[in-house]
Amino acid sequence: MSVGIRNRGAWLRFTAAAAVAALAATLTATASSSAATHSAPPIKVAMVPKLLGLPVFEANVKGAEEVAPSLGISVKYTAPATASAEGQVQIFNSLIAQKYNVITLSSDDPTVPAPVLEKAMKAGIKVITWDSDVIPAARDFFIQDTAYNTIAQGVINAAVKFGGPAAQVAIMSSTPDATIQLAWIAAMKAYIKARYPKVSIVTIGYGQSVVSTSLTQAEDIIHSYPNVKAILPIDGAAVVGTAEAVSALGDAGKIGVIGIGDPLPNRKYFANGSLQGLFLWNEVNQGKLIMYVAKLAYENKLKAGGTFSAGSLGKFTVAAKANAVTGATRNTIIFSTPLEFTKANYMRYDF
Amino acid sequence: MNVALEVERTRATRRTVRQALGRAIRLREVQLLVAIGVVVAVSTAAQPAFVQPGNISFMLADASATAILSIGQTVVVLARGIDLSVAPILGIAAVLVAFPAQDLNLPIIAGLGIVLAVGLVLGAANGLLVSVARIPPIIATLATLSVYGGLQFIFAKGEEISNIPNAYGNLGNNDIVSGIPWVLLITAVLAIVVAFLLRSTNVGRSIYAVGNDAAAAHRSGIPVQRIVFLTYVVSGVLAGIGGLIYLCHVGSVDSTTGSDSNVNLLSIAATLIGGTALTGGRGGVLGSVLGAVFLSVALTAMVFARIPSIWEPAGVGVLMLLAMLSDRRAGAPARRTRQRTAGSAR
Repeated sequence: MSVGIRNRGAWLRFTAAAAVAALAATLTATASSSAATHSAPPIKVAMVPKLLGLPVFEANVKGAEEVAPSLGISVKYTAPATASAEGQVQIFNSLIAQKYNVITLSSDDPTVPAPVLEKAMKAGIKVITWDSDVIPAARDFFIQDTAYNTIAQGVINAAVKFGGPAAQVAIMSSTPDATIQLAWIAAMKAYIKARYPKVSIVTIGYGQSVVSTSLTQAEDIIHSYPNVKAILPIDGAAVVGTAEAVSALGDAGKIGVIGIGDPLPNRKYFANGSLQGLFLWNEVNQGKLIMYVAKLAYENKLKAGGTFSAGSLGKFTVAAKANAVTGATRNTIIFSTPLEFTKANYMRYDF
Repeated sequence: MNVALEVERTRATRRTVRQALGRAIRLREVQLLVAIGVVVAVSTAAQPAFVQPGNISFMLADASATAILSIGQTVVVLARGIDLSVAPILGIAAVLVAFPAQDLNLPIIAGLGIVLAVGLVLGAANGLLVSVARIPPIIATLATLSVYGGLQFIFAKGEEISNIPNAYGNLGNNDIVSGIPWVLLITAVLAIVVAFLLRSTNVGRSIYAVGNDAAAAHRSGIPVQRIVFLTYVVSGVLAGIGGLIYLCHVGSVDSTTGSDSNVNLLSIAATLIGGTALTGGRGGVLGSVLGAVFLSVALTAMVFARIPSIWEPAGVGVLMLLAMLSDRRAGAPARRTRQRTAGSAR
């Protein structure tokens, strides 16, 4: 998901926006230092997503804030105004200065924040990444959204259900170098080969995480591959662009759109029948898990290869070593199996 | 005697015809039409689906926002300026319409009012920086690119606004007749109006004069700075309208719309491919519109030719370079120096 749904804004590195980010960081820093005066000292946990304002992250925060009081956690939510790794670094510096106990983040870049996070770990702060990881040396634990193979299977099964076991499908990705999208594509290919060998992937389009580019790509694919039965967008902007293309060309229901993304921006397309299915995970519950992991990590109760229980969310495993099938790396906790959004249930989720 | 005269007359006619033909072939508009024809013919030969009405309509609709922006860009470039801030002006206009459209079901005509106001204000700000504060256009609009980009983020609050009423999508995606989208009609009307104003009014001709030689224009009584100011207002307003067309065509907008799909580059590319000289004073908006259509057709042809989309930005760049190389008069400064020497000799 890293480079996909959540990097809307990665291209916008204007000075003005950076100034806004710096201002936001300063303001939140001041605000949090005054908020953290409790009688029984709570565990100070910071939640730093890639940027402010995205519904998926707001849903994470909602879940975190629900469970934090019962776990004895005071949670602070702060992030840069644009998806800027430099903006995150400034925030981490201020969090270290304020002696936070745990920093949790969804990283804008795998390497840029590594030095400052290592500095945090040396200062005794636990570092937990979720959604988008940094290099393993710069964090204690990583909460992976979902296993690569299970989400790929979900998408392909839904595509086959729509277009049949010999369907021609096209994939709409973000950029050709996006790590997670590449992993998902590889997992889809592997699953097709093993389970539906007659399904063929005719092309892979790259929407650059931009809706208008995704729209152009999807329309071109529909025109130049007249036999394509389904298009599988696996990035937030690609979902919107592909569904818009199918609905604008009057192909709703004739060409299936099944992808990976959040339902809120796509309600229009579920309603008009141009979008059949989306896969993601329950962002609210993921926010809760982040808090459980933060508490256990702070208390040094998490061990590689061990298991732990997170209240109503159930039992989880901490992967000890890398696993190419699921995508896990060292000290990775895989959050969930994917959640399927369809015309029947999309209205129930506000992320 | 008579025969000799007859022969001479025939020769003269032939010469005129040949000259006229020569001029036409050198006309960038004609060259572009031929180029578009060649791309369409080759693509159709390879894949007949290329000329299905749906694809033609889509290529034209896709070109429209770029074309509208390039009309404004052309006016600025004709006066020897450049406007690098059209992308966030498009974005801000689209965002400010999208919110009330989504939440209050704002009618399109009210949306037009909003984008005109946005374009007017932001374009006028550019105009003031260049004509009153005398900041070089490339720096002034590079700065406002940054400022407007930041404003767009603030206005959009980092959200993606996608639940736009159907009326917008219908305007942005429906055809008048099969193959000819409504947005093309809007683009054509704008282009013809601006082309007429440029060719047939004093202000229009003054824009060319300023671009050719601002000092000479000043000496001949043209209010140079007022003309320069006006060109940025025109560009801002057209970028605003482009924002509305973009919103109608794409159906959603966010804090990076415009900048993320490189509309700055595309608007300048369409202008240059359309035959307008970056050094000012030569060119026209009809060429720019054809340039935008050519870009759209060529990029779609790349997809039909199964060229991976990673190559798309490279394709735009190569087309720009080819346009410059094919324009033998692109080295316009030399010509201008000659003129100046001639002037001083007088």
